[in-house]
Amino acid sequence: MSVPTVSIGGFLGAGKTSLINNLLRNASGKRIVVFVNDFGAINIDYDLIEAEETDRISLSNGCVCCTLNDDLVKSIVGFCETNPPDFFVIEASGVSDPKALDASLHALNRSGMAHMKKRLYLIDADQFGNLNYADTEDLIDHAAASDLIILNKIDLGSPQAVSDIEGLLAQSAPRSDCLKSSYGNVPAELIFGRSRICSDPSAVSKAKHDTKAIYESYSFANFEPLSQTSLENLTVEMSKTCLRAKGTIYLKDSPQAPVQIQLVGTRVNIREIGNGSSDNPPPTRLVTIGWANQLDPSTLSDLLGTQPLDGIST
Amino acid sequence: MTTVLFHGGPIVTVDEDHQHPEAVFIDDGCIIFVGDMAEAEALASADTQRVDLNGSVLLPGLIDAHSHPLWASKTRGAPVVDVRAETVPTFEAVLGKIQRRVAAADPGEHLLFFGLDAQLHAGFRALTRAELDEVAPNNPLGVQTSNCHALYMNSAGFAACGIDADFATPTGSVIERDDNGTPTGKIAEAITWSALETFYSAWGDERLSEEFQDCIEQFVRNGITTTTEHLYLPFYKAYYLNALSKGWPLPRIAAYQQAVTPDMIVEPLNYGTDRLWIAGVKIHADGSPFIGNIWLTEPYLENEVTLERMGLPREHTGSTNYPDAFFEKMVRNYVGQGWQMTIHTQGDRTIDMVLDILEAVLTETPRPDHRFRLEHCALMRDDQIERCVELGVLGSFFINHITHWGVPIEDVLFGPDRAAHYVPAGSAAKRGMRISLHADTPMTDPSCLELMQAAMTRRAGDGRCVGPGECMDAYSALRAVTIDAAYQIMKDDVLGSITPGKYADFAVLAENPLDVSADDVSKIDVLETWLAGEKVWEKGA
Repeated sequence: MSVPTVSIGGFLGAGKTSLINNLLRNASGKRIVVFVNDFGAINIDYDLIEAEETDRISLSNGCVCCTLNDDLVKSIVGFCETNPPDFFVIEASGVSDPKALDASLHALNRSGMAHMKKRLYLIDADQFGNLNYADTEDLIDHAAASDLIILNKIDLGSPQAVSDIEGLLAQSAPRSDCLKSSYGNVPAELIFGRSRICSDPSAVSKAKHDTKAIYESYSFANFEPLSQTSLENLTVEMSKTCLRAKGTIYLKDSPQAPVQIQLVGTRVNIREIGNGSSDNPPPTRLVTIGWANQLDPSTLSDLLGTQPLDGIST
Repeated sequence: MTTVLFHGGPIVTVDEDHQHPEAVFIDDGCIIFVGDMAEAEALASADTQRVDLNGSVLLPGLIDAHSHPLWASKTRGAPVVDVRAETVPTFEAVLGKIQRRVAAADPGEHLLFFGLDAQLHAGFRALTRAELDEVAPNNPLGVQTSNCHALYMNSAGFAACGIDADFATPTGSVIERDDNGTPTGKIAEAITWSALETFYSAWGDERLSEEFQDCIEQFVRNGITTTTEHLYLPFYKAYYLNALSKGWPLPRIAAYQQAVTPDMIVEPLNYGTDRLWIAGVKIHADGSPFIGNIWLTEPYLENEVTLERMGLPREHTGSTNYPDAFFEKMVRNYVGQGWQMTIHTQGDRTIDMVLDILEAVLTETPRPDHRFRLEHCALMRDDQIERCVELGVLGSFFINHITHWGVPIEDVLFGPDRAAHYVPAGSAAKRGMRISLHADTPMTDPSCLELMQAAMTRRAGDGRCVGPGECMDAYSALRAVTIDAAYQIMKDDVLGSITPGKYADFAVLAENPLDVSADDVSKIDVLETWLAGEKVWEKGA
């Protein structure tokens, strides 16, 4: 039986991981295999997804549209031949074109193993207005090519901003349904249940991948605990040069308590994540993604006191 | 001297004298041997590079016989904004895209949008200069149609291009005007392309160079090693020579110079042994079926799309681009200079007119092996195919009309009877015409596998087959993007098949297009592209 597949796209920090975790928590006993496409050398997204280890597959080091489609297809075929789940969920990297998955899904559709059920696209209602022209247009084009747009983080955006985005989507993505949410809280039934939304991947044209390096990503691991001042300097630097950063770090003041750092656009969120007394504390690491001409690995290296792992551009 | 031995996979030669060989041996960019592995081994030395195909399939480099790589870079490359219906779904969405771009523009910045489509954009209506002035009072702005033949501009756009009430409309072009002669917004045909040059030059050469490099990659990543630059103009030469000098993997280019008057100079040239040469001359006899300026014996259908969106009058049968005498003078002049002619013809009445002229010219001054070509051939009739075969005139068929616009062609433009034989590549091939297929990039994206699939399935956007009687078999479709395409550009002696003595241009595919089902041909992965004995592209490299 062909396994229904849901893809989840959205710009860096739109809330894809939160949405997936929410769907997993409300899956009502359905078995869901999640493919996570990280855009960095460390699988931060992978670690934040709450699925069982074997049902959480990481596709790292590149965006899914160019280098990873073969891996994705092979992996899906593997599941279908041995232990097909009720659903596949594919999280596309924050910078990949959701249409790029279509070639893979066409191949799977032909084999009768899996089919595209729904293309979801998340928009961050809070940060949308801060994006530059080019990112805004990419985002609108991607949204227009999806079946369901989830306008997320409406608790953070002003009512006027939310209503402006809705108006824009009504004009520019008239064939996609739109749903508002906070914290990726979307009824699972709407995604996994029966609905009128169904798409045929072959009907959508091939996406083009821009081969020029636009975004760069640098990852850091195992650096020393930071002083409060270093942390402040780091957040200031990242909010100036990064589009998105995620990581787990330790502070000199409380070296037993790991802290999760999340940056989306200009918004930084830092919170303790517990686990401090565990025998197996989470490792120190930080993934940063930004414009190729703005992100400066040497400044970040100085602040963190360690060299980056291999950088990636796409 | 670099020698390479290919083996270990199916080799589709498209040469009836060398079928199913085990190995191909090349030396210094040319094919030396095609045949048994043992004989190929005997030619090899210690330095010979061995390419084990590992089951992938070796084909001749693919050929798109009618394209515009440099012009496509100008037309669709950044900063042109893509508003084609596949990206921007409705007319209102196009307006939104234009408004947001204007809001982000620098003062005086030239703004262009590509892909407005009367048939595919729901809610389409013709744009006017006045409306565009409201949207963009301070920037020269143009919106080009997806068929490339028409452009809408605002006042600043018209001013930048120097087109005003006093500007005389060039023969063969259209400028829509009010009673005072002031342009009202829309221009069409050759004036469109010269007006657009104003925008392209405002953006400078650096931009064009970058976009050209990207466009070249689009061709080679699809296994295309030879194509044409139809509408070549003499000033294009510098960009092409720059590409060659930089060592970009430029496919071989057969250039057909655009003629808009009878007195243009066509300079013969051939650079880098068949990397760029002037192959002949291109003239537009008529325009685009999608804006209504093609010449027909039977009128367009009458409905909301043709009457309202396209603004055609009732009983519309269109017309040719040039007055008959002017057109004939052009043809006679360039034929007289000895050039191969490629003539843009879409409507059947246009084809009648062009065949009459070609027949008269060939009767007066017979020319063996002229290989005169008709381009696109949307509404070519059965009797015209017969007449072409008798005259030795060849059709190059724009088969992607079916895949991209098949639904409106059948439902709203021409009806099922004419749609059943629209772009009649299948009938022409069956009658023995050596046809070619083309994507006419920038109108559609470059991919010879997509062309093959389109010709084999004639499947339109909604999945229907438009004209099952015209579907081609896989081998005929493959010939139309290899050996027969080479024939049409007069290079079948050195291109188009895996034959000893020809250039070592190859496409390596994951699967054999002659074996997979017709609906899957375009999905075959191109793994490698070889040009003149060098691997110029590799998937995932």
